[in-house]
Amino acid sequence: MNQTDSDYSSVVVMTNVSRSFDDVKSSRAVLDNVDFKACSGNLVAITGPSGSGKSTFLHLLGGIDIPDHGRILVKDTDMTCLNETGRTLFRRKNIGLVFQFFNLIPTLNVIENLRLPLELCSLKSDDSVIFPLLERFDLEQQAYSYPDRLSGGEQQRVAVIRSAIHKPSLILADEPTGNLDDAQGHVVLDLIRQVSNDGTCVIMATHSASASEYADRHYKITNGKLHEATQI
Amino acid sequence: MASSTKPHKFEGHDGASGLLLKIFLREQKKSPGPILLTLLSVTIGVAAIVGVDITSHSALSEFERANKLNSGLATHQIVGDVRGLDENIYTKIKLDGRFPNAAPIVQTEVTVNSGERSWQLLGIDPLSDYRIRESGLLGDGYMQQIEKAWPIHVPDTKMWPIGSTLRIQYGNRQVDFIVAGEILNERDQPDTDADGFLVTDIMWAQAFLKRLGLLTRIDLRLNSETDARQLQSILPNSVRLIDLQTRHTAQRDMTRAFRTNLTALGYLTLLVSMFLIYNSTVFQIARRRGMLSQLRAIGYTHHEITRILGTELSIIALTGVSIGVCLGYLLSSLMLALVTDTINILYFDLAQSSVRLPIETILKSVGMGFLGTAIAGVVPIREAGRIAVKSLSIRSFEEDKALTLSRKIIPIGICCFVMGALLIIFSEQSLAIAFAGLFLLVLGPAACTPWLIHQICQVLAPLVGNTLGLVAKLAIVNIRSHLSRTGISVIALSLAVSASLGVTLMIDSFRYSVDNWIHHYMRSDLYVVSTMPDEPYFSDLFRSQMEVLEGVESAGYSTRISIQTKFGLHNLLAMDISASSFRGFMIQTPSEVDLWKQFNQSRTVLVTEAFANRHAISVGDQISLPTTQGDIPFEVIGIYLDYSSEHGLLATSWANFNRYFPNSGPTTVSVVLEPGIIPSDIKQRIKNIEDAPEQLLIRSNRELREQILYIFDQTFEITELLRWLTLLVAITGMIFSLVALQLERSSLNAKFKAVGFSRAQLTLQIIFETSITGFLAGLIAIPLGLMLCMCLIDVINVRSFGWTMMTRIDPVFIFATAGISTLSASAAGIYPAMRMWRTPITTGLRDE
Repeated sequence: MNQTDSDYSSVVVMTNVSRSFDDVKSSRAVLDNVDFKACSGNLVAITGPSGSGKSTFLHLLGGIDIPDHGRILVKDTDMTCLNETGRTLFRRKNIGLVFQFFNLIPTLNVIENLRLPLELCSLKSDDSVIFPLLERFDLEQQAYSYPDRLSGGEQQRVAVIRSAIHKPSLILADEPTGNLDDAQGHVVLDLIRQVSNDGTCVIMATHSASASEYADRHYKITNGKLHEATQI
Repeated sequence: MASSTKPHKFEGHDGASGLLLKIFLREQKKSPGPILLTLLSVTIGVAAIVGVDITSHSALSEFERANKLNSGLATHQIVGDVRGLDENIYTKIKLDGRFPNAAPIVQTEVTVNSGERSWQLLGIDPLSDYRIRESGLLGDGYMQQIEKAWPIHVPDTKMWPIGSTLRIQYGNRQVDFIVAGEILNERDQPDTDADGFLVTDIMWAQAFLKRLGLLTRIDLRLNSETDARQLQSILPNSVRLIDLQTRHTAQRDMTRAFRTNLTALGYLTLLVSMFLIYNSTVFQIARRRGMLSQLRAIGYTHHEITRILGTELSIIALTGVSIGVCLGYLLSSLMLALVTDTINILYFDLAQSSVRLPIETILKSVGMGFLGTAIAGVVPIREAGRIAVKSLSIRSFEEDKALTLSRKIIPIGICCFVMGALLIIFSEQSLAIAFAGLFLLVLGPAACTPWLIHQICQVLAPLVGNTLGLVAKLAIVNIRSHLSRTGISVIALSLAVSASLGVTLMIDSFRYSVDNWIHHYMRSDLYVVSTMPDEPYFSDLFRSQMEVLEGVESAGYSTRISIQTKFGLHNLLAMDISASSFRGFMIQTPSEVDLWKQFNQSRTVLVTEAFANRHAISVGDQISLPTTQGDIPFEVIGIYLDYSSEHGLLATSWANFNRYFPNSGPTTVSVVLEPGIIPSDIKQRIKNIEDAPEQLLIRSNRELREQILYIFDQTFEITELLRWLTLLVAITGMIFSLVALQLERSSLNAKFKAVGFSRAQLTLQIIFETSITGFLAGLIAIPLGLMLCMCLIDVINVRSFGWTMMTRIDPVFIFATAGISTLSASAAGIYPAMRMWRTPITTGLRDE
């Protein structure tokens, strides 16, 4: 399970990144001169107390937010030098996102939700691509169901497949099991592990200790600093 | 780690639009409310513009059509007094030889086969008429029909086949004419513009009307002003030569103010609609914020989001414009009837025309519909495209932004207000610019409404909390915190309600002024006129018998003639009345001076305020009038208030009239009865007077006053229709906004229920919240409506019609304004409250 940097090339390199937010009276540094690196096939867990900056860390990596200073390279592309449209187009092809609240498009069924990133990237998106995945992750019965007909665990599994279906280099998962019970959570984490094993770099923000056990590397954010907690 | 970085601009490609379109279409199917409001707003806005435009255009076309058939290529007309023109004048002109292009005309209004519709019976001389009208009217075949008795040509022989009988009625007279053919155009084809006309030989027209030897007029084609002067020199003083170009322009100008007023109301409806388009677009985006965030997270660019939202709005606009054009077309049928009636009452006789849908109206309304939708939708759509993924799940972000926006809009509102005031002040006589100024004047303060409501609620919340309890306080807090959703509806409602209040107060003030004027002006008990056009005058014998009629205290006499002054064609009112009746005149300038003595002096006239304002006439000025002794200057001794004619009137004494103008006798008698005499008792006695005209119309003071006010009310029916249309749009928008907002909060209501709030408490909170929102919008609209009323009375009316009026602020209308606003908003709370009752707590909580 464990891979080293030498085995895979770096997908993410974060150098000296800071991000602060204006509070009512002062400015609060959420991330302070953070350095970070992750490679293909890595599954990295980021933990920390509420408000510590886990989501901000993922937003910066996903190009959803930009740092006050520092450099973020994703697949050798400096995200801080791209404009909004550039970051969006880069994210479309290279980054998958998984949220706590599943965030499937409610008016599209499972197949259509999965087809969305493929069509966006002009990739083959017919049933021959999608059904094998649904079968692999035991979701073929739900292929034509709409999200409101799925359980939380099923929705999150579809969301994880959607984030990975177009084979991005990086998947960012923000509390992917935060809304699930233990059993469902483990199913989703198994899926994430499999995606990572397929060679995708997955960075996951979580509160859950059991979730972080799935990771190859475990980082903790405290007082704006990122510390490597454990090398699994 | 790679040391090199890629170029700054990432070269990507646009993503799938098929699935995106599917997402949006399914969204709309799931919750069609906002899209229906947008559609309704575009539809009503466009319908109002189309309706007003078609109505205005059709009325003008009817005017041109009637002129084309009436006057043809004629440049001038010779007319006599109300009785007509001696046929010998035509003979004299023909014998003179210098004016070959002349044609005698006999024309009157008749009814056919006992129907209600009025037709113009035109008696022409086919041998000379071709020189005037492009069309041959009766065609070459006429000569073959000359031996037929009572022949008549009709616009459509499908309706009345050749050889069929038409019973033509005029007063008590009726004759069966035989249809001889169709009215033809210049290509000898049936004239499609001839609807409303019946044409016969002049001889038959004279025989039918018993006006042998008399003409209605002579139409002429003169080549130059020199010709006109030469012709004038051979005409007797009792007849007038009228320049038709001047008259047509004057008639067209007369209706311009009226049409501009209508157009302004039409555009107001569009403006209110634009607010609602904006509002419903914001709603749609707010409702789909979560979905948009996901799409942005997946990788859709803001261009793609903007494009699809823009496409969606364009489809709505296209649908709305199409329905709006059709609805406007239907609406115009109703409006045209009202407008034609109003033009007939106020300006000149116009037949009920058919509705025409000109291509320029379609292009204009399509353009305005799309432009309005684009202007209203561009900001929210741009904002939607720029939504940052991370901010999408934060609700307070939007409310904060709305509050910031409501603050930012205040300087813009103040600028609009100042600019509006400046436009009104410096627009001089331009009505269109004055209306634009008026829009800005009201729009500016209306734009500040959300901020004002926020401030009011901030003050109210603790007060209400302390006095009415937590439920009421929550309602006030909710109003404040949902301004991003309700703010624009509140502006639209304030705008529509203030416009409605302003227009209502103006009409009420106008009505009050007219009523007051009638009260002053009409001091007699009975008013007598002849209804026989060929016998309009009261003889001296009638007058002498009237003086001694039992029960009659005194009688006054008057008549009106048209005179051509350097300002155009105007009516001159000549009066033979007592000093006490004269004091019924509401003299504006000079004030508090008795002009009775001066009025009876030689060469003096009074002019109406409308005349004075339109032509910048002051007391002491001289106006040259065409008299039987040539052009003679008359001194203006006073300016008086008169609402009977917006293009102005001159008044002179009977002595002056006798001396300087062709006097055939009075046409109106006003009778003051002795105390205790009942008007109805004396009517028959007047009819029995020897030498009284055959048919008399005798109306009591009350009857005439009621009729004038009835006509007044009729002329404002079209304004009322548009006013209600605007209100309807705004109220619908307000109700929709509040319903949608409340429905969105079903999960919050479920939480309240979960913690122990009763249904009654929650219902009270919902209704209280919506009612207070409506009440505040209405409250803010009141000063705006008052301001609008002042501007309409003191600026727009003076420029449109030339007259001033008293301002009357009836508190009933003010209460009604606040009431309409509050009630419509209260109604908006009913459905969400009912839904809240039915929704189980668990469902409400799950919705979150």
